[in-house]
Amino acid sequence: MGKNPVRIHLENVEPQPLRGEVANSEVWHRDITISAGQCLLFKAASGKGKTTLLSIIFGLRRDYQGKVTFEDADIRSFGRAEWSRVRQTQLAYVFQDFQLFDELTAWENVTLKNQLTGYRTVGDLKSMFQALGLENKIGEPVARLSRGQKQRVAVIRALCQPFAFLLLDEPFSHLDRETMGQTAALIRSECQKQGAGILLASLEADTPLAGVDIKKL
Amino acid sequence: MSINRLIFQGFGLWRWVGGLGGALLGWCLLFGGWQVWRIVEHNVLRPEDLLSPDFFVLNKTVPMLNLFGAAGVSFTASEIEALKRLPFVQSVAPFEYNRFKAHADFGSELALAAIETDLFFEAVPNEYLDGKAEGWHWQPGDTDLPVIISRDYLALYNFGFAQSRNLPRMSEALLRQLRFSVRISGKGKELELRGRIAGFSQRINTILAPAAFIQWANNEYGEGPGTPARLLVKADAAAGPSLVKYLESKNYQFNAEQLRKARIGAALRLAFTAASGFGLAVLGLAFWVFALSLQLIIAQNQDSLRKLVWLGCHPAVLVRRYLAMMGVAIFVIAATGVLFVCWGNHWLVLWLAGQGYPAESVSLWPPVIGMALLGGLLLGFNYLVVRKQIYRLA
Repeated sequence: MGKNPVRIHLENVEPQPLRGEVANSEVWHRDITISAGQCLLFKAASGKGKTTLLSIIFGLRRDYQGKVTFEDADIRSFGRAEWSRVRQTQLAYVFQDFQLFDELTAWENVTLKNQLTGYRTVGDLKSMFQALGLENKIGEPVARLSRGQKQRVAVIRALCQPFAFLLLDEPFSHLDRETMGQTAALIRSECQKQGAGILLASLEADTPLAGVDIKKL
Repeated sequence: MSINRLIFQGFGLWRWVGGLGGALLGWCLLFGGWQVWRIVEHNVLRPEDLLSPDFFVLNKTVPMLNLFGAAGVSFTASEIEALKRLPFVQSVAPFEYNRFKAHADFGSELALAAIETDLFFEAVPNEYLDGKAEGWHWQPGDTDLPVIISRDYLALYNFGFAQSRNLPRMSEALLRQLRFSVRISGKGKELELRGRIAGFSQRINTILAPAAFIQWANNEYGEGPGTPARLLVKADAAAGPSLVKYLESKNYQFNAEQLRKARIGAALRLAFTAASGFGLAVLGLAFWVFALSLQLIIAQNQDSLRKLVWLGCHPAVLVRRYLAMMGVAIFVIAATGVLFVCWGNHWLVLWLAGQGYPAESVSLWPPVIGMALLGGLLLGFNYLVVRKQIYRLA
């Protein structure tokens, strides 16, 4: 990381689909600055905009009012090249519905991302598969994996890049307690190595990731 | 390789091969047709001939019942003026003809076949003559009368008459040595001259005498100058087809090798234009199939494309991958097209040489440059379409 930690700043943001429904939120219509290294959990019931918030920060949605800045620049001004750079080097995302390629194997899904970034060695990848108990699923097409296994493959894929923030959308929802712990440990360790922050969206305040600040949407 | 596997799912190989075959056919028709036209125009039609002044003889169609005598087939002064005013006509010269009696007697000179015949003469200005005519001049008092006869007459004698009668054939050189007696008469007077063949004409199908002789003799022995029934026209043959159109609209008859050539040229041009047009249509359809199948693949794989962009893949990288496929197809088509045109060029020139035409090769650069330009244009067009489609997704 550079001298100044990478920051995300939300300024009076309100997604259009939630217009008029965001009273008492600690995020919407507020000024929030999140620095790399910080861990925030955005807690809300279904339909309150958890995924929307992460999608706005990741540049997938533009239907919001207010201003979001990343590295002190309004993300609305980012072009395709800038988003490509940011998504390869600054923001990693574990999508709620994983967004894996079902026709590829677990290994191919992960190496595809790694081809773009060139960040991990084959050894790194194998040890991550091992750490999450997926070493036997490496050659398995993703379509044949369980939701929990897919979730872990999505986490490994997200870790195949340098990042200042890791965006996690319900990353433990399909995991048992043991794999949840393994996954949280891997995430925490990688974030610490990179000095990265975590933006976690969850229905519950209860999370295996220790030391997170909770913000109610 | 994984990315290509993802973004080319559902790639219809046979659809693609069909498009490739069609495009290749259209491409070769278009550029092959163009090159064939260029070779034919250069070696067979000879554009320098087409662009040089063109002479042809013009007369009116003789009606079935020519009740008006000479008047019905003669050209009036206004008709001649109208012809002269045409933009592609350079000059018009009426044929002068004898209005006195003329008689030729070969008996004393030609031991092989005694021929005695009534004669006619026509005259045109000297600048309209083709070939060399020795001593082509006459003035009152001259007893020698040079004439030019049509080369067709000699051919008729040699290959028609002499052949059927087992008579010896005569060369042009021999005929130039021939002397015969020409007797002209009228107004109660008679004059005998010594005729000789001064030359042969390919262009003008008649017996020509010097204009000075005809004018003098018409006044002395005939009824003065007559109204012209035949015209010699000097025209810009590059405008052949429009000239032919005009002449046909006036119901004029003409007999001109050059004009026929121009008409053949126009017909050939039409044929090659049609072939090239057909090629262009096939090519257009084939590339339409290409462009559509490319868009179909993109549409089928839009989910994968979107995910790839979310992973940080620049959309331009994806555009380039699709375009590379189109580029390879265009390259294969263009390279095959170049080989086809080179081979066709070589073959056609050899064939023309075998047929006795001058067989000069024409430059291959115009079709090659044309192919490069069209290939670039098609690639550019597809780039814009693919780029728009992918950028809209992501």
